[in-house]
Amino acid sequence: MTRFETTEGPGETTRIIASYRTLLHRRMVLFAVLVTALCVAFLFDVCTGPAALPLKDTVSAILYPAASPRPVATIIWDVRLPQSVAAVLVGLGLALAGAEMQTVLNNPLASPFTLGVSSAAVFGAALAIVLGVGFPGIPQNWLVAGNAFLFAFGSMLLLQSLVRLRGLGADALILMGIALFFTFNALVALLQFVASQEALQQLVFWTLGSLSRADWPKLAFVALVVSIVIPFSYLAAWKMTALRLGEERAQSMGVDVGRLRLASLVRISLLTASAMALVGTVGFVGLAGPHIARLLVGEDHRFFLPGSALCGALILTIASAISKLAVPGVLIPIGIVSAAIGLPVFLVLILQRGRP
Amino acid sequence: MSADELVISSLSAGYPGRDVIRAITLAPIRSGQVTALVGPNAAGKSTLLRAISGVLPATGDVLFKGRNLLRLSPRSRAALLGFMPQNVPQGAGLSVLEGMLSALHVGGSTSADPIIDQAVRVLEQVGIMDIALRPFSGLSGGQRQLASLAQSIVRSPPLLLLDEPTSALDLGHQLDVMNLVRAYVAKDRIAIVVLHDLSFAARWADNIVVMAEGKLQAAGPPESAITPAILQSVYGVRARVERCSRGCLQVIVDGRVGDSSEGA
Repeated sequence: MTRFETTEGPGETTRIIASYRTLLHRRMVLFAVLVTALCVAFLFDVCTGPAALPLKDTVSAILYPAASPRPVATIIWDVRLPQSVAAVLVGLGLALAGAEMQTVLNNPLASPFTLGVSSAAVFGAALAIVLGVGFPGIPQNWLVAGNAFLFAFGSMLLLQSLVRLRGLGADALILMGIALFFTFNALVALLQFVASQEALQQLVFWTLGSLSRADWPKLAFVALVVSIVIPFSYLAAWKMTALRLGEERAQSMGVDVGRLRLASLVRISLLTASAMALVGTVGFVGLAGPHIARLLVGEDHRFFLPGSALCGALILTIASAISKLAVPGVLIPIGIVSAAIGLPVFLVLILQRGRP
Repeated sequence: MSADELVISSLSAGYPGRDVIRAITLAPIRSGQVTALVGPNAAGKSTLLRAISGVLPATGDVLFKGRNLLRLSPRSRAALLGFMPQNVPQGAGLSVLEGMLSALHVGGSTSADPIIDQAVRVLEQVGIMDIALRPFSGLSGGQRQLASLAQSIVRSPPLLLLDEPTSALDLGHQLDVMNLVRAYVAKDRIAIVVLHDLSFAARWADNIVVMAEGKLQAAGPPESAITPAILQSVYGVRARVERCSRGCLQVIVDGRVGDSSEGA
């Protein structure tokens, strides 16, 4: 008998299994806390705005719009709810995309924008704003959003074709993404150079990111994308967990890493492109959401992926409320607020990581 | 040829623009045997193991259990083999137990027992129950190596491929790991293990495969594969191969070829 076979007894086995089950239970409790916090933050965000509406009137207008005074129902349903729902959907989508990106690229600094997706979206939006150029068949009021979506999604498809054609790994993929980032940035700079004063102003405002662009039809589109992507993402959870053990290890366990990476990039591009089409550029959520989730629930992707999505939704909902409260009467673009909140959070995370 | 034998013929593999191993053909490896793969640095040992495991594209044939491993899907191949790579990622925030569970969920389990019971049983077998709930990022190199070994055997694959499984381990743990591998293959399984210590390889392996510059230099039982002449041509050293008082082969290196000084 080897020394290995004599080290532990049945009591130790029971203790480890019990400890693991306690850990799973603790993670479920954390999820409940996050969902509750998100509901509270969502309600607070809907209650926040220039028109001082009491909580009772707000809740009543959400639940019974027909029974509420028309101005109140209009404020809630046409202005505040679309923005608050957009904060939840965009935060959820970008953080989930960030979590998947960090895993498939094996890079904790990756975000949905790492591979140049945001630059492609800005270029698409700039084409529509500056030159009025869009894809045929897209209605005029969807021109900017449609262009942003199609260019962001198209840039990821281009990357994927290169990956498939050349069999590139994660490192080469990042380098290709950086090349795309600079290419689209240069093209955007060119459009800015030829843009009129008014178009330039519109473009700058678009790149800052704003929840006020959200309307119900666009929200329905983003909700559809998110609800289609989430089940596929969750189905890949064990494979992505295995990928954290190393590419070769995962491959030898039966994971088709190439296929997993391609499927994940499709999901990331759909989530990022639809979020950007709705609100423009919103940074840091896709980076900070997964990092906070990793600290809370670890890297078992059954918990890490939904945890990241919940953290992202919570961060952006809080940012949305702050964007309305910071300067009374002024709605600060959400991109600025999320970056302002995200940066210190990110710095704290980095400093904590450096501790023994 | 028996279906339980592993037959490797005309196996070539490498990296873009560079072949590392060329047309490797080995005598059939029978079940119940441990084969040690030895050779100098950059001999192609890891490449050969990676080619057999399917993580590196290769040409040729690797026949096992009536199937060509090179033609199987990753999932079908994973049912037949367990591969322990040389490098284990340092930063994974997963716990050792979660790594085991992912191996069982992704690769599939052959046992009817609950997955968590199977995982914990193997952790106990490898002697790392005390680190079961610790993240990989907090483990020492040796602990990571033991956790990686546990992941490789948790699905009980009939073919085990281990790339330097003892390189980060102390003497006691090296002994434990090789005891475990011997006990594992006794159940009609096969293990191919990359090792650097020739005396260690001679003690634990039934057969030794010596490689250099991507080619097979010698193969067979330790007595015939490890000889002063082979060591001189492959490693460029003057060495004696002697038996200790208990009959085990010992390799004693006297110096480099052309170097007149004795010993080190």
